[in-house]
Amino acid sequence: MRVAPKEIQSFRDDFTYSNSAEAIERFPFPFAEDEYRYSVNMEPHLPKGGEGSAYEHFLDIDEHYLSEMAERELVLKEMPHRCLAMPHMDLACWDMVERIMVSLSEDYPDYFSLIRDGDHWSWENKLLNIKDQFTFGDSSSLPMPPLDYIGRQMQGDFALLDQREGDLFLDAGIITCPADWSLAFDAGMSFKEWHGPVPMAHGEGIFERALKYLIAIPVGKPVRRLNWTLTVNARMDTSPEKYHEWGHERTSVTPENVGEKVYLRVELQVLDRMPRSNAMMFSIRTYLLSLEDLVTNKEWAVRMHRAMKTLPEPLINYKGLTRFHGTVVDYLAQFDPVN
Amino acid sequence: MQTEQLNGVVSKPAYSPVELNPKSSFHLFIAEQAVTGEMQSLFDGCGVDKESAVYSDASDSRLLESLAAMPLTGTLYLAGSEPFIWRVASHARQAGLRPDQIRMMVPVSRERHLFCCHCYQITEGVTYSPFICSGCGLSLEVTDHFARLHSAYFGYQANAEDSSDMPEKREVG
Repeated sequence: MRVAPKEIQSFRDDFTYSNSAEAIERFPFPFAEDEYRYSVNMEPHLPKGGEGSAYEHFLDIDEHYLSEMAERELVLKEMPHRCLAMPHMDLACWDMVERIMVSLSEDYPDYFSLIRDGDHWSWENKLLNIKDQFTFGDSSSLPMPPLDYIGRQMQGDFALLDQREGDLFLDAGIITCPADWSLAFDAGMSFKEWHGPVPMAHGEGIFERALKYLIAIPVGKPVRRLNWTLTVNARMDTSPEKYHEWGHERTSVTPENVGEKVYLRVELQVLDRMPRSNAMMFSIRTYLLSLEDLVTNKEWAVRMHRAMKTLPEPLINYKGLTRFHGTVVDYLAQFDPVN
Repeated sequence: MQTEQLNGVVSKPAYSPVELNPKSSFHLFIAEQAVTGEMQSLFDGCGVDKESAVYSDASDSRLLESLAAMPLTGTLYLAGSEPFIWRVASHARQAGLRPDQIRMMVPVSRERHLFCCHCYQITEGVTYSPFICSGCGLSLEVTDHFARLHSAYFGYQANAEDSSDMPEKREVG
């Protein structure tokens, strides 16, 4: 069964966000082995897991759609610079508009419709009550810049990477739910530069191999990978911009509240070649699951415990888990029969 | 925050001794405030078409004009503080120079520009961490994550997780 968008819940202040039983079941659990290690864990972005799976469609719309769109509005209202496109990325932005509108209208015809008559396009988003007609490629025919316009209708963050000189450059994006990185600071960086602070992987040649793989991706052959961290409270906007407001939550985790307060944050990252601009669309779809919901799946509980227990110190620090990692491991131990 | 690492941050620029480009037909030497000894000896050792100039402002209109007039076979040599040379390099890239046409000398000072991720203000003359942001006044942890576009390092509030836990003052270079 597919999960339909439900009423708006919050990712801040009173944190009313919650997952239904169906949402827990379809959560993209990231740990394939007991021991956590780095790898270039990319695979073709093809349907997997059948109807209702988070991998059923190119873009995943789930029960949190309205909540995430409301959260994005709040972020952009306060900080419009969290959406940014360098002038040379205009064509890539339109590529992205097409890719998203076409796939949403094909995969979710009850929610979205697109009628194309040459360059005259009619778009309807029934979930957000949006109905617009515009001229494809003409940014003045939309009520706001194309990246901003389509980004406000999609769950997850989006970056557009310009490909030149055998490298990928972070030259556009709408980033309102990042796992602690700043688009404003990282804008214009090369692939290795924006991964600069990541520990351990540089020495292992991970980024050289990943970049080689990515720049060779052709149109129509998107790839995906999962990334993860832990977030205290169901906070979508864990941006550096707001770190001075949410950082203190990392000291609020106790043995009593760890199950409800700590969330496994998973990013389903998809890279897709854009046909006109040759840019890469990099979508970062974030899922949040509280540990107490996670451990309702016994297999996940055991694996989560072992992955957390074997997490190398540099990664614990890099991911910002230092202050509560031990509490998480202790909590998870009760679900692992080996202990 | 994403700044603790074992092997150093790869976005932090590394500099090596600069040599003249033997394939170049024109050499432009740009220095901030004063020509350094290293640049002077390069300049003196350069036989073909050459020019040198000193600017205090990396966005000086005369400097931008000379970058726009650079021939395809020209090489640009830069000396000065780190923010200065990266800002000029950024203008040079915008003027169409390729990366291999730009050669940077080791910065003359270890002073950094610091980008505050909370208010986006850039604080100048940073030599230690934590450092007070000139925009919002927060004490910022100075990282090695460098953005060429901003010619600045990434900074974030040093004691955001626990206000009583301020890291000890340390020099950065």
